Amino acid sequence: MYQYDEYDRRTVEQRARQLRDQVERRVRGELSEEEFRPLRLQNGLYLQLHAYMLRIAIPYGLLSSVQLRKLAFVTRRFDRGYAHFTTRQNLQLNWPRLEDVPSILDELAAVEMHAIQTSGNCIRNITADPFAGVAKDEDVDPRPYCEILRQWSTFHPEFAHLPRKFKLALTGATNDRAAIAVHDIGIRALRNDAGEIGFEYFVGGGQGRTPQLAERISPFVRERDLLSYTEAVLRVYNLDGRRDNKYKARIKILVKELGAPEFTRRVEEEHAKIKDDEGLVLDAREVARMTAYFEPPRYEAFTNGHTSLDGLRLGKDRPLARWVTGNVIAHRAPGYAIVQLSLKSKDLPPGDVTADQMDAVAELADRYSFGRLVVTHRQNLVLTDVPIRDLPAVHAALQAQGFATPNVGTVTDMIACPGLDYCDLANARSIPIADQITKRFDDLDFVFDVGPLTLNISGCINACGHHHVGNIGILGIDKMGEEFYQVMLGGSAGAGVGGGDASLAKILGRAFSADEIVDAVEKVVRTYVDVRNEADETFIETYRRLGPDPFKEALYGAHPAASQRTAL
Amino acid sequence: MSEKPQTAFVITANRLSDGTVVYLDDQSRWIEQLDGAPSTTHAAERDRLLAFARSCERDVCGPYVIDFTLRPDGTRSLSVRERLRALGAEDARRRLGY
Repeated sequence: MYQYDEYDRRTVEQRARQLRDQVERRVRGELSEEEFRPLRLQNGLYLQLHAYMLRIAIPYGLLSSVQLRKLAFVTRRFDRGYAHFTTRQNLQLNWPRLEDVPSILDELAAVEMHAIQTSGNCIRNITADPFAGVAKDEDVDPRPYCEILRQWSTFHPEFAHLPRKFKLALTGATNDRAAIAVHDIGIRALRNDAGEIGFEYFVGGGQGRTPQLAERISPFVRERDLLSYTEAVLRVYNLDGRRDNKYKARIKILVKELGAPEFTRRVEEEHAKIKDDEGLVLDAREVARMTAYFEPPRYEAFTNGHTSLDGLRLGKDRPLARWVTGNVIAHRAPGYAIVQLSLKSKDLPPGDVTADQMDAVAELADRYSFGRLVVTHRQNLVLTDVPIRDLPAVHAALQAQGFATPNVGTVTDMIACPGLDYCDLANARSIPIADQITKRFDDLDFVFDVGPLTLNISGCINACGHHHVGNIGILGIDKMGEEFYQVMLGGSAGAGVGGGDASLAKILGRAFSADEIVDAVEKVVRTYVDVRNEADETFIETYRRLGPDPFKEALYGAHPAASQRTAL
Repeated sequence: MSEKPQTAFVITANRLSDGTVVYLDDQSRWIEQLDGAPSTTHAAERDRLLAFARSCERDVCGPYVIDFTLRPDGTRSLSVRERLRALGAEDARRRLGY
C-alpha cells in the first residue's frame, strides 16, 4: 500500500497542530462557532445530535494492521470503545470530546492517517472495489489510480470550494463492487484491444433527494489523460454547477439539465485546452512508481492441495461449509481466498466494531493476510489474502469475535446509516429497524434459501444508507412527529459491466410505522420466495421480471387504494 | 393554563466541550434536562432568550429555538428528533446496546 514520504508526513502532522491551535482559540472565545465550523469540518469533525463525530479517512478502504491497531487505540483512549465503518469506507468515532480531537489526529498522523476530505464541498475520500488487486474478474488494479487521484485532489485549490461535495469511485473489474453508477464520477479501469490501459468514464450519478444513475461520457479515456479529463469534468462543474440552491448543486443536476451530450461536449472542449499541460499528463513513470506500492505480496506456491474452496464448501463441518460458501470468495492467486468479515450480527449495529475486535482483526491480518485488510462500502471488512489451508483456523477465530455470520450478500447483510440515534440530519432511526430485521431473519436456512438480496436503510432522504440502490430500500421519515418507513424495491448498485446492471428503487406505496415495517419486509421477502421462477432466480431478477405488483398486492392487497398514497 | 393548545418555545444548543444537548433554564444556565427548561409562549421573550443564547459562544454551539405544541394538560408535543435529543446520549447508548 502507499507509504507516506516526508512531505506527506509533515502535512498530516501540521494539520493536527493547526487544529490544536484552532480548538484552543475556539475554547478561549477567540474564534466564533461560525469561524471555527469550516475549520473543524475540513478535519472531518462534525457536531451531531448528542456529540461530536470524527470521520477518519481510509483512502479506498485499504488499511494496514498497524493502522487498525491505532484505530483501536484511539477508539479506546479517546472514545467509548467502539466505532462505525461507513459506506464511504471510512471510520467514524461517535463520542470524541472537542479537546481530544487534536490528540487523535496526532495519533493518526503517526500511522499515516488523517481526517482530510471527509467533509465539506471538496472531493471526498475516493472509494474502490474492496477486492481490488485480488479479484479474479479484475482487468486493472484501480488502487494506483485511486492514489494518483487522491494526491491530485487533496489540496487542489480550485476544488476546495466546489458547489457541493464530490464523490469518486473506481473499479477495475467486470463486476462493479464499487457502485460507480451512483457516484459523481464513476471510473472503470480497463484495457483496450491493444492492451493499453484506459478508463470507462461515468458522470452524474448520485443518491440523496434526487437519485440518478451516472451517464457514460467516454468509453475510453487514455491513461495519460486521467488527470486532465477529471480536471476538465471538475472545471465544467465548478463553472456551470448551481450554487444558488444546495439541493440542486450536485453535478448530477448539471448533467441532467444540460443533457449528457452537451455536458460531454463542454468537458471535451475544456479537455482539449489542458490535456497536454505539464502536471496533468499522467506519464508512465508516475504510474509505475505508484503501481510499485501495490505490488502483490509474496504469495506461497501451493502444490499439495489446498487450492480449491470446493472441499470446504462440501465438507462435513456445516458451519464452516456455510461460511466458506457465503463469505469466502475465490482469489486470483492459487491457494488463496478472499475472506469477508460480516459486521452484521445480532450483537452490534451494522458496521460497528469494538476496539477489542479491531485488535483481534489486526492480529488475524498479521497472521493470515500479510497484515492488510479492506473496508467495504457495504460496511464489512475483508482479509484479502488468506491461504485456503488456513480457512478453518480463520473461521474459528472470526466466530470467537462475532464476525463469522455467513450472511454476506443476504437480507441480513444490511447497509444502515447511523440514523436518528446519532445523526443531526436524520428524520428516523435506522439501527433499531436493522436490529429487528436481523432478529426476524435469524433462520440461516431460510436466509440461504432466499439467496442474494441487498437491503439498505437510510434514516433520511440524504441516503447515506444507500436505500435507492437496495433491492429492498427502506427510507425513514418523520410523519406528524412519528417515525415511519417507506419501502422501495428494485434498486441495485450494479453488478454488470460498467454498472450496466444498476437501477434505482421505486417507492411501493404508503409508509409503514416502526411497528409495521419489519412485518412488511418479511412479506416482501416471502412474496419473492413464492413467485420466483426457480430457486436460483434472485430477488432482483424476479422483481425485474414481474414488477412491483405481486409485492404491492402482498403489502396493500386488502386496501389497494392505500398503495397509491405516498405518505410523506 | 389555556384551554387550547399553544405554540411554545424552548432554547436549546449543544455544549461546546462535548456536544451534549443542553437547554436554557430560567437562571440563564445551560442544563441537560428538557423538563427543567421553562418554555415561553411569547415571541418577544423567545427572541430575547435566543439573543442571550447566542452570546454564550464559549459554552455552547448552534443555539436554536424548539417550537412545539403545549397541550392544555401541560404536556409538550415534540418532533421525533427533539424527543430523542431530550432523552440524551446515555439513553442513546443504552438503546444501542453500549
